Amino acid sequence: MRSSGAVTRQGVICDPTMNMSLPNTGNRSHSSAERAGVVVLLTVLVNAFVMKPGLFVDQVVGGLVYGFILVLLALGLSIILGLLGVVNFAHGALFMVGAYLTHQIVVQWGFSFWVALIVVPLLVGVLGIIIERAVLQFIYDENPLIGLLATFGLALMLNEATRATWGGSPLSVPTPEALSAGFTLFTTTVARFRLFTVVVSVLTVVVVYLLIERTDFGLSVRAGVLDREMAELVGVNIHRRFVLMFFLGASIAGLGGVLRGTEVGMDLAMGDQFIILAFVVIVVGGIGSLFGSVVSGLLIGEAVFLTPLLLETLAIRTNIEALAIPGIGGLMPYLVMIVVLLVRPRGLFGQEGFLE
Amino acid sequence: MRATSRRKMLKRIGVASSAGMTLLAGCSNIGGSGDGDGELESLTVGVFAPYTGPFAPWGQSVTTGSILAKQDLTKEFDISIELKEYDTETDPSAALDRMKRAVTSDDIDFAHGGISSAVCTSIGTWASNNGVSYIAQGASDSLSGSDCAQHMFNVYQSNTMMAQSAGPSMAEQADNWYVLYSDYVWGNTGQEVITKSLNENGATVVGKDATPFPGDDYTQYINNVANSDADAVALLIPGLDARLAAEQMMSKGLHEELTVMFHQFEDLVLWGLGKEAAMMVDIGPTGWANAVDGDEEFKQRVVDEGETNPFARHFMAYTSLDQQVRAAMRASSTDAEAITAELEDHELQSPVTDIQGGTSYWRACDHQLVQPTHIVSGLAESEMQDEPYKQWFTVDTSVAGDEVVRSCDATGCDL
Repeated sequence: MRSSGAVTRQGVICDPTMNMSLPNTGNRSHSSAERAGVVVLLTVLVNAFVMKPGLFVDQVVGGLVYGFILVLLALGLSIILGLLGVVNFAHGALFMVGAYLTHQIVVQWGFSFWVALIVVPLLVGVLGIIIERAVLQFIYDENPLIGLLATFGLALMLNEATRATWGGSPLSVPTPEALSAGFTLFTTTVARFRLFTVVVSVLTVVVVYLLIERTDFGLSVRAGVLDREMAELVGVNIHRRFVLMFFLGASIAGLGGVLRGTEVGMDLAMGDQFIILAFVVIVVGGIGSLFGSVVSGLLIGEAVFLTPLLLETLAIRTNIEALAIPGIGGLMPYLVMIVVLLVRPRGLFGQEGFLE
Repeated sequence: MRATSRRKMLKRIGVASSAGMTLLAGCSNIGGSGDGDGELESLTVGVFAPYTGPFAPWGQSVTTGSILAKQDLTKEFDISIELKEYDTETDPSAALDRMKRAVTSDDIDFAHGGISSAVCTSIGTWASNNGVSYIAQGASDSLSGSDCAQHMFNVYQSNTMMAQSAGPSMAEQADNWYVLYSDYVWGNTGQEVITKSLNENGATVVGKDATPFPGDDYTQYINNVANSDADAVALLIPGLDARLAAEQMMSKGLHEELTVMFHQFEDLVLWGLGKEAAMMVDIGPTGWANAVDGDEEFKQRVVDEGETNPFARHFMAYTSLDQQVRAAMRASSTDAEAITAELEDHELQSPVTDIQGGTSYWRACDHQLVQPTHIVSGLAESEMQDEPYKQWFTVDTSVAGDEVVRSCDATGCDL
């Protein structure tokens, strides 16, 4: 079995299972248009910094934090898609259930947030196992569209179950004292809870990386994805490993729900809202690439926060007011996706042949 | 008359389809209330509300308000009223499909509801064009302006009414304002009238940002506010997004530094965030709040019926059904032409006036319910009431509708 793969036509070292490796861009020559683009971007960035240094730092830090939140939300989805080949549309619903379970544990049962932080991902993980055993195990070899439809149905069921259990009104969870205030970072103030989310996100990425790339368990899972029959022939219990990977993916969704629900509260639409963004992150990063999801999340985070400022700077410098497009930040995830797919149809670090 | 004919044609098609289907299924139970003249014994009313989507928490309040009105009207007029609920999803297209089904298949007599202005425009225009009376709950100026329709009425105070009510208080509390507004019809028209109102009252708008709706993060816009010369911020952000923006402002500590105005404020938004967040509301123009001095029994009935705290949408839904049914009873008809004729220039004389206070009437030129607008602010935490329902805000000012409503010429509505 191999843990690292071949060089694709795009010059990316590609692991056919879960690519966490860095891209190999050493031999790639850059066109003059690309160089010009980079120069223009750097010039605008420097101009923006000079014109509004406080706001520039605010937006860079804000984009980084937002990017890591996106990474956490997309990670579980990426694992399930990359390893099991299932387009899990119920991921957003699992994320939402995580938030509501946090409310149940913290507000209704009176336990601390820290208890919820541990228990909720486990509960959502168990829910993921039930979903995997009851539905998804039967469709692994089917057309991905069937998995998408099945998980979409599951998402609707989870949504209605949540409404029946906790009602349709928005709920909130008190932020723990230690994480409730703001934190001064350089020249800006960032909510401590958001920084805590970043730390959790980074730790989760590292743990997932180590699990998949540096353990026998991860190796056997990747082997199973490459060739299930061969892996089973040499004694690997692939079913159990797939169940555990689904548990991991669902747990990360639950973890995201705990953090997001505590930060801004919860409602029945929160899952739908983020599932789209999570898919955008995965598509931009390249389906099947965890490393791509991390890079993509951060890229989109910075694009969302910095683009309005950069366009405003351009508008001022060029005296063309139309360049400062109102509401451009909200469009950036989709614009980034369009541009990346035009240049690299499989995403930044996508694998040739995966789900094609 | 043309509109009525179209409606009748649609109904006939719907009834014919239903009859065909039921006969095919071996069932002959074809019913539904008619729309002809004569004594009304039963009514079927479409209640349009967002039971899913970004306004989902608002949906149940529309139902609860309608149920309370139905109870009162049934008792008063000895009439049978059936409420049929339709989920608008805050999606104009989905809501329109449901309105078409309600009229052609379910044979509703008239309809009310819809929270988002885009949804109200979509279903209200179609209903009106097809001879169905409809009362909207959106607050965009366009509903009683460029998008007004012959049989569509607007129960919620318009953006202009709320902006004009809040303008003097806003200018008094701060000179430099930053405006964050949701980038859709309600937010766009709202920021225009807020800017105009601030300028007229001597204040300045130092910056403004259009924000996506629904949005998932407002930090980038809040950073813009923090790095501007503003000493106050106006949030024209509806629904749960307002809660998110408020939460993220608090995380940056801006709620202590800036004067904060929530446009078209509704208590529900901040109940979920807690009392500290509620205290950040310095100026909140609203259509109705449970702090309005009025019928206490209504507020208690909302709690009993809806197991929730009373707020603006309960009142708006109650008023909508109350007014449509009374108009139909006066006209002895559910025909849209007859209801419209009864509502135009009608001054309210029903339990609604006890709940809202002041004088309210349906203006004929744009079909806007001209009624008082209230400016609320957050109470100190020690003064906030939790039982028998949450009352965390106090009414600072109530302004008569006639003082703040646009002139008929300024609406752009041609009825």
